[in-house]
Amino acid sequence: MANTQALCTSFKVELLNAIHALGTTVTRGATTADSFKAALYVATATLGAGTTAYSSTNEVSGTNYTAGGVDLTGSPDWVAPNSSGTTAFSTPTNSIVFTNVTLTTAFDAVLIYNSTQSNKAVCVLTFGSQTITAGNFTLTMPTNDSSTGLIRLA
Amino acid sequence: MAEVNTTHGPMDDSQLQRREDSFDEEVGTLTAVEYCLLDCPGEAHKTGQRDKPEHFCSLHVHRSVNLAVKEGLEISGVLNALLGA
Repeated sequence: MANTQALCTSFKVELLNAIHALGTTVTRGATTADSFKAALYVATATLGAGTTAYSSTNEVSGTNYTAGGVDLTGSPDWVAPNSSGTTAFSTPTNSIVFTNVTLTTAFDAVLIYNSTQSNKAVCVLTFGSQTITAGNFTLTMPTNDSSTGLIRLA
Repeated sequence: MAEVNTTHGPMDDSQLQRREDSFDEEVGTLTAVEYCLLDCPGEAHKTGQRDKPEHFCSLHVHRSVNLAVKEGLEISGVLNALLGA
């Protein structure tokens, strides 16, 4: 057998489990999963890869919408990180639902962030501009596998 | 008959006209359900065209949206990219 150069798959899973601290700024004493939230942003916001944490700037506002957004539900919030082939992946356990809201200013992005760890940003999803009136905005999660999981490390 | 939450409070859906639109987007399929009053005077009903990108009729009394995300976000391993894997 020959040696093969690669980024170890187990390392990718362990990243999602916060096992590795390549820097010196991470200290974790807890063994429970972090809690996460999802917030909506208006179409004029500038969320993206450079977003580092939740901010109320350009967040939507309206009836039954609380600043900061909604908690991810499920116990824990994310399906336990796993791998298939050389890809590690995880997906929120449940759909994300903003219930009975009225949001009249068009919004087109959702930020998922870690409310346990100083509201640090996880990911931004964008879609065509929407408004909601006395209704729900629901994000149904994809199948949690190595091809479609919400977060995948290939 | 079902009850729908509206800007006029809960209403029986027999008092409303329902419209459902689906849009395939890069992130997934977006399905919007909009209700208007039966005699809605909105221009969109006459033209059949949305009067704004973010909804069909500006006089709607209820609008809910579901985004079914089809796949999430991937980080490709740098070494894998260099190796062309």
